[in-house]
Amino acid sequence: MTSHNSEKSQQWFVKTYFSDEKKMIRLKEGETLLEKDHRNDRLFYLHDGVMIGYDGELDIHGMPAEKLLCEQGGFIGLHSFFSKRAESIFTIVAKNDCLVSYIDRDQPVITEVGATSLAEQFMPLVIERLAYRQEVMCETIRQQEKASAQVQEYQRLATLGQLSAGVAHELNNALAVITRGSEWLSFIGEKLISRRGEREKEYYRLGLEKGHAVSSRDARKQKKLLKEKYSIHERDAHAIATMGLTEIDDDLVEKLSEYIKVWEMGTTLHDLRLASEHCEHVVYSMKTLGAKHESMEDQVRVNDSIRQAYILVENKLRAVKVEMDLQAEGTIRGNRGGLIQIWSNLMKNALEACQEDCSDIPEIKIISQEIDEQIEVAIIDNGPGIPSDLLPKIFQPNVTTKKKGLSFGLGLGLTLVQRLIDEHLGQIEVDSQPGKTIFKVRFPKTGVSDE
Amino acid sequence: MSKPIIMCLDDQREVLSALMKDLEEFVDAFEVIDCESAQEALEELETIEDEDGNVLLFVCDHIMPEKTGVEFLSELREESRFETARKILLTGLATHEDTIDAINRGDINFYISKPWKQDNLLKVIRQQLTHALIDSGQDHTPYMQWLDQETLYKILSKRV
Repeated sequence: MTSHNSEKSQQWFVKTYFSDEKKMIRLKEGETLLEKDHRNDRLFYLHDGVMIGYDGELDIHGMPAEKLLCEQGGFIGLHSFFSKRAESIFTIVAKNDCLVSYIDRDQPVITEVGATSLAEQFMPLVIERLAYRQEVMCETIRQQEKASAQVQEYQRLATLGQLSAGVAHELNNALAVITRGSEWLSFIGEKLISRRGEREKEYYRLGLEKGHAVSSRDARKQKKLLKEKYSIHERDAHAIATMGLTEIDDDLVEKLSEYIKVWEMGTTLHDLRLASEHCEHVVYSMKTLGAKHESMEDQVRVNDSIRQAYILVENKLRAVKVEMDLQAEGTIRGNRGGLIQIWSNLMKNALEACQEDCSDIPEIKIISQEIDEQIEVAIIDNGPGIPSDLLPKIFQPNVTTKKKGLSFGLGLGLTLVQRLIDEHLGQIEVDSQPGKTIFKVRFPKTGVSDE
Repeated sequence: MSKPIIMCLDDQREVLSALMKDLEEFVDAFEVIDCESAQEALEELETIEDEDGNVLLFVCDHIMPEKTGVEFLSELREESRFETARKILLTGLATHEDTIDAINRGDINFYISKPWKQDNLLKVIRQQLTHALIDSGQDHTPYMQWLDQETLYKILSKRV
């Protein structure tokens, strides 16, 4: 029995059939071992290297499709050698330098247990190899399915992007009317109100510049004090408190409601401006989601774009501790504006995430470094982390962790980031647990900065 | 006796101001209170309780930090003093589920979507105020000017 088992092991076959120096072939990369549909009377064993089988079909990129992958320790010609066809079903080409041994069809059986034919002796081995090939094939199909699902997702995004861009365009026209209109009204308003007096102008400007300066809670407290102090109408006291004023000139008291109206005009215009700025921001995000960044430069310094993005969101980041460690001085091929958008989006997310949970001191780290031929940027926050059920979906539109919907929870931020990174041939990955969320972005490096 | 109360909640200051402006005509007869969060509203409701105030109507945004409008309104159900108070949800973005939730849990009486039209908002508020005022058992006659006559007529004719 032992000898039978040894016949089954691959080492025995290699030793017994495939170690004849005269039946060894060395192939250089690109050389062909077998031609499809040509007669083959040999069974090959691959000692070293990788060989690829083609059957003339093309893949989706128009390149010859790889139908068989044979690595060191595999057999080639199984089909033509053992089936009655005796013709190779693939053209077999060496992917790199290869060493193969072969036996011929008339090879006599070498046996220790009395096998009568090569076919009988090789059968367990052949079946094992075929099963392995099938397994590889199934795995390939699974990966293709995955890839095609991803393609579909991209297409869905692209459609959404186009749609958004269309909507954004329409909204922009309406927005332009509102923005320009309220700006004009602010300007003319000031002119007209100035004619009534310096005081009125002052109140108007107070409203226009500061809006409702005081929170509703503080205003309520102050209102009571003002009401008692000047014995004025509750409504007026509330307005004065909201302006942030703690006292008023006595001569003002009589004409108070008029001043308040002028101030309200100012705040209304102030609010209009804020609201239309907010709309512009939303529209801008929608539009960039749909647009392609065409102007790519070859030598964009990543660190510069991080610093510029930081300046953009600086006023928001003031509330948290920000640590920057920018080591990567290299450049990448990219679009400056697009990169700034990637960083500012990720920074804003990090900021909002770590402000959400106040148990720790909010802290953001921004690290850039060069790893081999890549530039890696990591943005780390110590927020509560992304819920594990959301994590696989965060790059899809309409997914947001900002349930609080502060001022902006469209869930477009990361979708946009993903798109931009794709355009830059980069990769993004995320690792999140409570207290530490890391977004890592990698780009292929194109050069080294002169500095 | 202190004025009955209308309480407005919205986390966005500009929206809250616009709402307050639209409700200006009620200020003479009602105390209109603005709050920027559910937390602030809850604190204010405690003060109101101490002062024996009577809230007739809530006009509430849905998507707010810390606590959503529906969460806030559903908490009010626990307290018997708000049993007759009316609740209007004023929201710009609500999914189908949010809406179902609002009705089932928040027990809202009316739903207005943003952006709203002033005359529509005022009509709804008048109607809801009318219901709340009658249900609370208060004398409605001093408030005739701010009530919805049609609603009032319907309620009163049913009683007879």
